[in-house]
Amino acid sequence: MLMRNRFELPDLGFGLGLRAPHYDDILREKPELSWFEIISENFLHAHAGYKDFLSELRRDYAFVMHGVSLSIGSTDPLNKEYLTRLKALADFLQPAWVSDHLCFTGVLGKNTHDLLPVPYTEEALKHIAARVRQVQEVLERPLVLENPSSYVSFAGSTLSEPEFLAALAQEADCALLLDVNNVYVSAFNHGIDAKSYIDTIPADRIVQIHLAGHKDCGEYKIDTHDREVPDAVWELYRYTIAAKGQVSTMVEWDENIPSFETLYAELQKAKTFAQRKVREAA
Amino acid sequence: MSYAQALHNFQQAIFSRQTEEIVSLLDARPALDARMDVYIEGYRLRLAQAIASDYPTLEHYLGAERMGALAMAYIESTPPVSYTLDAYPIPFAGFVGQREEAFAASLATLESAIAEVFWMEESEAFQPPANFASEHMLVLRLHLRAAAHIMELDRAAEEYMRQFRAGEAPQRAVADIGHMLVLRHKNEVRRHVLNHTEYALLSRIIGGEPVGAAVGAIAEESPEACAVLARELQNWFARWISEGFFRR
Repeated sequence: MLMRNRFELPDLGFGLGLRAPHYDDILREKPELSWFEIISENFLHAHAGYKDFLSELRRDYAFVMHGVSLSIGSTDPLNKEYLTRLKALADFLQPAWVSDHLCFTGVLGKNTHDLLPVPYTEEALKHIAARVRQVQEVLERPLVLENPSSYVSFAGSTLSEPEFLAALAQEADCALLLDVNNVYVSAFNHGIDAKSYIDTIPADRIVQIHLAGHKDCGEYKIDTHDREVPDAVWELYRYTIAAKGQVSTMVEWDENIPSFETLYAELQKAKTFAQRKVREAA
Repeated sequence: MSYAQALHNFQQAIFSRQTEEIVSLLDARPALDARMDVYIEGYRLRLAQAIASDYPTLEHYLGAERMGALAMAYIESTPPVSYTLDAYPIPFAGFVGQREEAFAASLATLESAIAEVFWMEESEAFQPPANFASEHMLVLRLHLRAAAHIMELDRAAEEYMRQFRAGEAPQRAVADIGHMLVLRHKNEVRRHVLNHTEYALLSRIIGGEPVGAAVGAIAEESPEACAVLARELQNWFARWISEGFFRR
């Protein structure tokens, strides 16, 4: 099943996060995959050598930009310098889209450099939707927001996380990056059903899927991106593509980064799941 | 409680490690303190890793325990204010300078400059045309490249770093205060030791004096300086140009 998103953004197929330990491997081997996701912040201040590197890869691969510093949930004004640099990088790289997270990273001029949870209330919805629209105006392209992983939730929330995401996407007319590992982690941590979380997210808003590994701490799970995708997340991925259709999918691995071969093999698993889904449908 | 207040309380719990206020706003879940610790400790770990990444030579010199304590003291006193994590470790050198002996401070200053120059803005190197006459050079005003730091530094720190980076067991030499230029050229951060007269001349030039006037002023300082200029000036300029000291 192929579900067209409302933004007519392409299905890029299967991609990987571009991480520094693999730069040489990638330039040398030019691996067979469709696209790379960069962490936007790694290139906002980068010198010309990095831009040359991106330009070379851009000839063979599509790109998407994924940020961690937009702080869309913050009550501080949007950072103009950050947005200006983000726009300049997007204009240079021409990514298929630009994404960040539903979270805040700091308030009152401080920055924790973490993706912190926000209360899911009507007040938050109005506030964040207005900021998303502001960002989209600056970037001149739809913003894609990722569901966060979280370990605590605000008692005052009046919407569930997937309800909030769905409402935000509608209100701000933005797209969504569905991190299936984050769904699994947050659903476990907050005692909700992961599949009903997926069911609540509107398919026509999803333009990308993230897969990653996490750490099991018994009474809670931590989104660590430091290991292989566990079976339970693969199962949720299978459910997601069955329910929502195949969209651009990538594997994130940011700590204890393995060899490129190991990472590439992990991506092949995602392909296998998707192909199995196509065969089942046929 | 307002949305803004909820966010502020959450952030404050991370900075202060005091969770009572924020816990009252959260859903009751098993191991709530441990869950808050994911944020509280994760914040500190992330910043400590950023500092360690920029100051490997200092960490080798101080040892992991002393370096860890110093980094944690910095983190507790200095919440990040920039959207880029790369900016956070840069002022750590100043913090080290207030708390550690001079040699450690010199190492920190050098590593801070290297980290900062790596991320500084791009600027194109000045290249004189092939037929550029020396009289034209004398009236030129030259400006330092954007990604550069010129500084006073203990050369023993530079040598210690060189040995450490070369995989040797670094030895601390006797202090030898001099000057250094840390500069990014052709996408690499390079370190240039400057002797006294070279530094004095370069300072005048990048301070805005025309090259000829700067050379004249240094030559008048002392017969020794004049002799050094006569011997080295051409070599310096050749190196300054080939190593991209100046911007267009």
